[in-house]
Amino acid sequence: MAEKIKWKVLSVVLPLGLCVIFVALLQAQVIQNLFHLKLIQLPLPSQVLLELLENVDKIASDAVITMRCVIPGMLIGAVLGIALAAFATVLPNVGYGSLTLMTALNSVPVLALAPLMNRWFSSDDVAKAAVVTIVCMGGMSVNAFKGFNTLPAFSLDMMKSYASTKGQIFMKLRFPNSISYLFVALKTNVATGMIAAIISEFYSKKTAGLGYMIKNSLKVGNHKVRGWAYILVTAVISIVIYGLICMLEKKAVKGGRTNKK
Amino acid sequence: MKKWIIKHRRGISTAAWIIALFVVWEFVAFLLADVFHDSMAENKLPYVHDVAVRLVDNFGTIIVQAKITLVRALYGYMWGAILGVVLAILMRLSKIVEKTAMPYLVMSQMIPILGLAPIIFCLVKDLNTARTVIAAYITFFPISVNMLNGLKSVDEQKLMMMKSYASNKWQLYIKLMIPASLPYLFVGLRLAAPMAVTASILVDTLSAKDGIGYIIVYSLAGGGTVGQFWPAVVTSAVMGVLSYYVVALIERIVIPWQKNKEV
Repeated sequence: MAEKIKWKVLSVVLPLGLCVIFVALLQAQVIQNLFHLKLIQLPLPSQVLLELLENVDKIASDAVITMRCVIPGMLIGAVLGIALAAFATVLPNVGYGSLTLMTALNSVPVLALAPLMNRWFSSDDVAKAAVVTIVCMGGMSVNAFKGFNTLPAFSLDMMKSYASTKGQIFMKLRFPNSISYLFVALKTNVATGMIAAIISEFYSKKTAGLGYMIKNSLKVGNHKVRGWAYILVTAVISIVIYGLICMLEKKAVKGGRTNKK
Repeated sequence: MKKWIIKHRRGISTAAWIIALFVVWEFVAFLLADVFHDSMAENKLPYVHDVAVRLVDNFGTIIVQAKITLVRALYGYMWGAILGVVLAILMRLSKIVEKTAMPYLVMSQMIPILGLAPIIFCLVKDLNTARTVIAAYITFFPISVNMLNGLKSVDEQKLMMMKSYASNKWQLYIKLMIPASLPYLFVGLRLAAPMAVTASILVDTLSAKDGIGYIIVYSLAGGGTVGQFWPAVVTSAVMGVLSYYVVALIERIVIPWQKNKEV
């Protein structure tokens, strides 16, 4: 028991300690000197924090502009991905190919998608959300398909022996079984979705949003610190959403049946 | 014949979907161009056969550029794989390392690294180094996590046996742990391969003079041959898929005993 508590404490203390050491090394310019980087390339943590506090309003409004495309995009992508996986599960012979196609579509680089969506949709926001939807759909469909089909041994036979319909098998066996797989996909989609949105903003016509500001601040010589502040905010937003999904997951699989090994 | 169909039903289904995609694509392109007379039709979605013709026309250039991008991707991928495996072994050896590194591993995936490509470039000042760093950065995570998973799921009885033979750590890893976790490692390697390709393509677009990503961006901006855009996009998708299957093929060769088992 004591052993368990010790590791629980250590699993918080150790990473935090590393973080503190790293920030301190940055602040003391040790890392910069080690890699021969100028402050303009890798600014001090204090500079970034100051910049962040000074521009908090502007950064918040940019964050809203980006996130109002990312969140709907992620949700729609998740729903479509699950629907596609369900289709491929219920009609395996017909549907399987659609999943393969989906993985192929998924490897179309985001940066080819982004300008394309800009041409398809006149609204900038819709174009951005569409890119996020497409990238999130791929990951979700593959994971959901795995969840629908990696069933405990004999469970399918049991359901069949009870003469359950395909619908019942799906609702009572496949879907509950897939929950933890769905969450894995949701979690990976946070990063994928954010990346997609940021890269789309590199190409968008609008001159606001996290991605635009990152790219633009880094281009302009004396605004590099601002770029870092935006990067920090972007990372924090992703981590917060990730944390929220983890909390949801704990709620959803409460009472026991996780499918992890 | 019937047996053949049943055996290859997944392949047939995939082929059918690919054909269906092209048919729908062709039809939508037809609608845009000849029914709605959209002035942007050529840009939004050109005819499939147009793309095919252009692909054939530009085949030489595109293959050369694709090869450049792939070779660079491979370099970053190798670094990512080496780092990932080493880190996994370190984490398996020491719980302290695992507890310290694991949160960072997860967090590292939350940082939209591809979006940060400009900053990596600004840090290392050299495009090829930036490419290697980014490709390695996004590939090492799935490799490391899966490898660690594999190292942790080695059969307890086999471990006991090795211990009862008084094998040392080195023998334990070389003879049992690493071979036993190869199937898991390959899951990670397969996942990471298309990511490395994407990373390499993205870095092409930054300010490189060549590579498939460069073609995409350059033809989009209108500076180059506009006709190369669609063939390049199709090629980049094919490259991603291909990289996955190449790794899967290597897996079959390296660990043939795992052929019918999925991890």
